[in-house]
Amino acid sequence: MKKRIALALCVLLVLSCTACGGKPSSSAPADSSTPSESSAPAENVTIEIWHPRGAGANGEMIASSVEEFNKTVGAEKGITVKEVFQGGYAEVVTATMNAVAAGTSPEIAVVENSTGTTTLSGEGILADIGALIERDGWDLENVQSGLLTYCYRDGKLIAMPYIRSTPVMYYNKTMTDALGVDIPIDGALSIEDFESLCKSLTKDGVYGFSLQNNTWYTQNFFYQLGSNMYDEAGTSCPALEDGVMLKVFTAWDGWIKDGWCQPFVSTNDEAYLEEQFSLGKIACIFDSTGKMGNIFGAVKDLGDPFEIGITFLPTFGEPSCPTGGGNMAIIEKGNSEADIDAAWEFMKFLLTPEQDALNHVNTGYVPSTKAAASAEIVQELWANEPYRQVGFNQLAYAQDAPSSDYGAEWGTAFGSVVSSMIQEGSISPEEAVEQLRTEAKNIFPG
Amino acid sequence: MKRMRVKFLAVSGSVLSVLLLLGGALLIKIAGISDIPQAGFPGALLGGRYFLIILGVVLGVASTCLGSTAVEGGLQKKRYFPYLLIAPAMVFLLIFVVYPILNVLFLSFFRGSVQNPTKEFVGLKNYIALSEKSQFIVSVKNTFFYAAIFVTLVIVCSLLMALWLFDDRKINKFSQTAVFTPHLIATVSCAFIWRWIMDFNDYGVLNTVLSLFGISPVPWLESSKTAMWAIIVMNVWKNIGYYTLILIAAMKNIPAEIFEAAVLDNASRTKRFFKIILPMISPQLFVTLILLTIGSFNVFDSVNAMTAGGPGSSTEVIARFIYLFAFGNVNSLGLGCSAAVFLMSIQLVLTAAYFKLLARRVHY
Amino acid sequence: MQEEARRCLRRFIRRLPGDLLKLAIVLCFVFPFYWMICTAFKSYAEAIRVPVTFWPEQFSTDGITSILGARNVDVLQYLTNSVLITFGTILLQMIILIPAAYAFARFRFFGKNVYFALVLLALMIPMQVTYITVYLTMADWNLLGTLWPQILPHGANAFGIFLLRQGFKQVPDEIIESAQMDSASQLQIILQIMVPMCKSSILTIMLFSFVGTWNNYFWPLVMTNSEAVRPLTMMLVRVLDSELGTRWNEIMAANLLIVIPVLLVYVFTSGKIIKAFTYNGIK
Repeated sequence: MKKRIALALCVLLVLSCTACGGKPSSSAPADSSTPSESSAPAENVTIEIWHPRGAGANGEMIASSVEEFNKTVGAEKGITVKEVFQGGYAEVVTATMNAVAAGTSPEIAVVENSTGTTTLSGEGILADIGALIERDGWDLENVQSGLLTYCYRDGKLIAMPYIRSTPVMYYNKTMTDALGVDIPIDGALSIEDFESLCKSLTKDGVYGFSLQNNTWYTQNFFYQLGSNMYDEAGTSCPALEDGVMLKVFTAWDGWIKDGWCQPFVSTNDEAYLEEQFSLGKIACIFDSTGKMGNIFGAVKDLGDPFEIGITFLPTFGEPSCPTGGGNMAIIEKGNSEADIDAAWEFMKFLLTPEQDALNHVNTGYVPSTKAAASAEIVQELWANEPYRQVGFNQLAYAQDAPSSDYGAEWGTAFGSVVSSMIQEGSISPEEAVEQLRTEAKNIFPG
Repeated sequence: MKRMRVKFLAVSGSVLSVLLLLGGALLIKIAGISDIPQAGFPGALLGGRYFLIILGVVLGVASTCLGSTAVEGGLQKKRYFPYLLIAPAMVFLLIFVVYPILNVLFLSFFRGSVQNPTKEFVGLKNYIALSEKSQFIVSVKNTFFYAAIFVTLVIVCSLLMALWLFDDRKINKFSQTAVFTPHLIATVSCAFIWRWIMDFNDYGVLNTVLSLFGISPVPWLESSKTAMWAIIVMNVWKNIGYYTLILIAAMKNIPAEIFEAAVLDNASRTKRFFKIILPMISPQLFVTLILLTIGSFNVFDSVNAMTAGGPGSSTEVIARFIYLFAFGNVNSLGLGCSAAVFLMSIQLVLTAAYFKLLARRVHY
Repeated sequence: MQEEARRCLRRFIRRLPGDLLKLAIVLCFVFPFYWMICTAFKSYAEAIRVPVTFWPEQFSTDGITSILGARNVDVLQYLTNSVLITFGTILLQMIILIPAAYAFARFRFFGKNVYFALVLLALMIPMQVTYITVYLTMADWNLLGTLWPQILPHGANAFGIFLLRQGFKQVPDEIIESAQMDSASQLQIILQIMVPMCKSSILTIMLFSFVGTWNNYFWPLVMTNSEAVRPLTMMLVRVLDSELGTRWNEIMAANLLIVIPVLLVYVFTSGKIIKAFTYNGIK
């Protein structure tokens, strides 16, 4: 009897061993370390793309792109792509870096275009896409140049724009129509007009506006006032010293105090804004064009549907907008040449006019290539729904802060101070700037 | 006399072997880092970087054999047998507890990232940088605040509950079960449930209920005045049941005669509590205190799920700082490691302090 | 008889305020769970509707179906991982800790105190400190794509060794001696005498392990970087990351999936679990 139990235990142990060990077949490092014979592409290659495109229109888009690729180009060249959703942009970076350290690198990572790309390239693990472009004679001119800001590092092209966006202002058109206000679709409101608009939109249970705690938007305000978040070298914050930061903080703080701007919330602030906007409780929000599909869907699903308007971000001076969203980069470290080639194949596929145009039409991310912008489905869409073009038109005013190696830490400190000032009102704008000055001394070198 | 001498020899041999092993490990690690000048290392001179390790192992085995001869009989015939029995456990402890502690200490002297943990030897710079980082200082303050309030609340509340739910009655049994249940549920689950209950919006159920009593809505997790308290409440709610049950069990073990004697003496209730119950359950209370204190300094799950450190940095805690710096976006492993060393030291110091200050008052 | 009844009544009235207060406290402890279940069966729109409904107006399984059907959330995968990790951990711990506890309880050997101090040290050192190195080690061993990083590091259960040693110590010497007379091997002694005699301690350790591993959030958070190896607790994070709004009905539905197995174990072992957690818990 006892022997039988012991035997059963052993069997269980063996079973659990095999069960645990059997899992990682897809990402086993053995795959990547097998000697690659680039001359024999008939060999099947499986690559992974790690991305932050979760549920909804976004997730479906990448799934269908992968499916399409595997059926066509992939089938022909013996490449199978697997898409892996990793969470937010931050998670993709963390997961990728940790995976590289662990020797289980993915082939493509879709990361936030500025800090994400900078972080990965800083570790020297990205493949030189420029060389691949040159080899294949691929047309780089076709890519929107405004989107390439962070794609270079030390003169090398290490990333390609993929799910890029610009933030726009979404507003509750049903409400503005009721006020009899007409908001131009192709231009930016001045900050004064914006303030008075939001003030008049505010009524019982409805806030005129709310802004999330994201340096994307604050940095843009700095830029409009002629300053910036980082200097060219990325080793200081000019807005801190030239009074622009104080000016922006004072304005924002004033909006809160005037009662028409709702403070953001501690966790998931973006999701919260989208939810409140969709419920008709906040009249204007700034959000990425990439969220267009989801926001339109939510407004239909939740509560009383209303008409949505979209326009440029309001401005303190000249119109401007940051660009955002994700770049895709090929991980060189830990991947064989065949893997990298396969990854590049898939990248090219995603940048074909058809895929790029579909990506724009289905989700609202701006077209990465010029060819896609003139594609028929895109032109047709813009003709029928002019607001869909806003994000693309705004690209003409695109600006991006220089990247900084200290961006991640600075961003954390910045967010935390802004939270104390805006969310809680526990410190004044002057104190906030003062605190950030102390932080800056610690974070930036020199 | 001879046995004493053998024993002394064996012990000093073991100590020496541990030192050799440590030195050997350090040597191997350093030899792997190109930044540090390699020439003139004793290891290199003595032939290979594994030399010290091998020497240490040999010496260790020898001293253990020697020591074994000095230990009296016991049950065993074969002297190596107990070592065989504890070997797997010791191997696991060495790899997953001892080595990590030493390695964290080691890495805290380097600038590095997860990909390349030892980019540059910086000596104590990480610790200096840490002491200047406002985020870290705030985290430490918050952690201490959390630990102090949490431990006090749990101990006091569970003592009161234990006294209150002590009698053998149906309603008490039922209450015990209900109060205990949260202890079995994952902290994240509880954190999410509470975050949902404490939602500051009109659909937050806590504020809805409070408004029935005419209390205006409170932004529980959205204000630095209440956020930490909200986290504390959640954790107290989750843990109180367990400690209540432990204390009840301890009280049940108090011999009935003692109580009877006290009742005969006409001792008052408070007197009975302080003179009988408290001393009799002091061992359990002591262990509870230590476990709670150590645990409270590790608080992470509930903070991460409920506030992610916000608003501002009013709920940032040390464990989250380590996570953010070592593994998160900031990606500076050295700073994370030095913070981890700091955390560990606090816990060790506090435990030692407890033993020093309280152990004498504990009645066994 | 009447006297008796009157006394009962008087006692009942005397106790009434206290008992009502007890019920109120019980309500405080049970309500969050009720609220979780209640929300899980609301639609998203109803979950965030004002005024709050304390019972789903329209019983909806949206939350549950959207999790089960979500493209990015493979519930079955998470569940299998959780089960494998939990049972793998328990099994490994048992294999390691029973012999170790036996040695510490019944043998005298050179260096025993030092080795035991090592066990106690492991009790004190939090995983919030050790995980950094363990991760690097696992990366070195190329195990990060597997479930092992979530099992192996918990292999040596210091608390279990500590607890079971107490149990083994209480087994009377005579039993073991008589077994040795019958020339039973040490393995036989362990499996046929010690383990059955300390069944309750072992069950306790298993329950602790089960609850601890199943509910672990921090460890998988830092040890995993692909969905293929993540357990149920990480699913929550995934659900939270859904693209728009915080879909509380889905989060609570996911929560249900984590909570239910534990509650089932709780119900099935009902009295035992409480006993195990307390009477054996701290001694």
